[in-house]
Amino acid sequence: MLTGLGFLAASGVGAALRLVAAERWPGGHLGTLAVNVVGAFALGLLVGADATTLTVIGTGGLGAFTTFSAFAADAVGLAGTRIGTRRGRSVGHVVNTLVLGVGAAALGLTISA
Amino acid sequence: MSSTGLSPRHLALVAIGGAVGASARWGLLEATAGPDGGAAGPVLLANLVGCGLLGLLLGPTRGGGIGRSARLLAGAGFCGGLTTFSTFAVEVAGALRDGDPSGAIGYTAFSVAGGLAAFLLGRLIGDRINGTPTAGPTTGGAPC
Repeated sequence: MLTGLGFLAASGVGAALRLVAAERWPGGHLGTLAVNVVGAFALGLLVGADATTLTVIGTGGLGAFTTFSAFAADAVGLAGTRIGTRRGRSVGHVVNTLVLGVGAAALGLTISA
Repeated sequence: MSSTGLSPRHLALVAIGGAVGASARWGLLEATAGPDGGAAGPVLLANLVGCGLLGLLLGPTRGGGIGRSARLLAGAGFCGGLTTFSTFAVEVAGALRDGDPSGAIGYTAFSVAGGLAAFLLGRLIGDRINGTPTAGPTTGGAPC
């Protein structure tokens, strides 16, 4: 019960903070990139915490803070309205997100180990 | 569109949608949890479904379909909460750490290609429903 309420609160706050970050940067995709990298690092740090903390803060808070759907939408949007006009920007954004995100998660895992 | 137009109502819409979406992902994790905690399956499924749903929502938006409030609640909120990047990144980093680079690369490729494909498919369906072409001009174009 308490875990459920904590989960709802943490995920609500996480999603709202993501919106603030996405609106903070022009274009939105850099804000989403920053959110995903920070969230991946924080979850890496959190691995090894107790089950309740992992559920509330990890699955709930950081899970809702970070997003895969906006990442996909940004990647498609950056490619331009006509297929292939700005494919390089789109590929760059995907590579940046993957390298920085997985790197941040690995760093978090290493620190917490 | 203004980038400074965030009101408490907008934040509340995203928070509510996000909490519902994250709860759905949590339910998916709980329903599929094995004795060793869980697998990549439920997160991948949540991410693909969320990408497809966001595409469906954003497609019609270009043609003036759903408004900003609905987009915040269902798009940034629900889809954003249902999908997640942090668990994905930690799973990939963990696979690399555990000496499984092919698993890490395969999971990454499947997630990214699947997510983009699901988004495009959703957008295509959304545009069909709404009757607007996906690749059409964004402003001032003559209907063809």
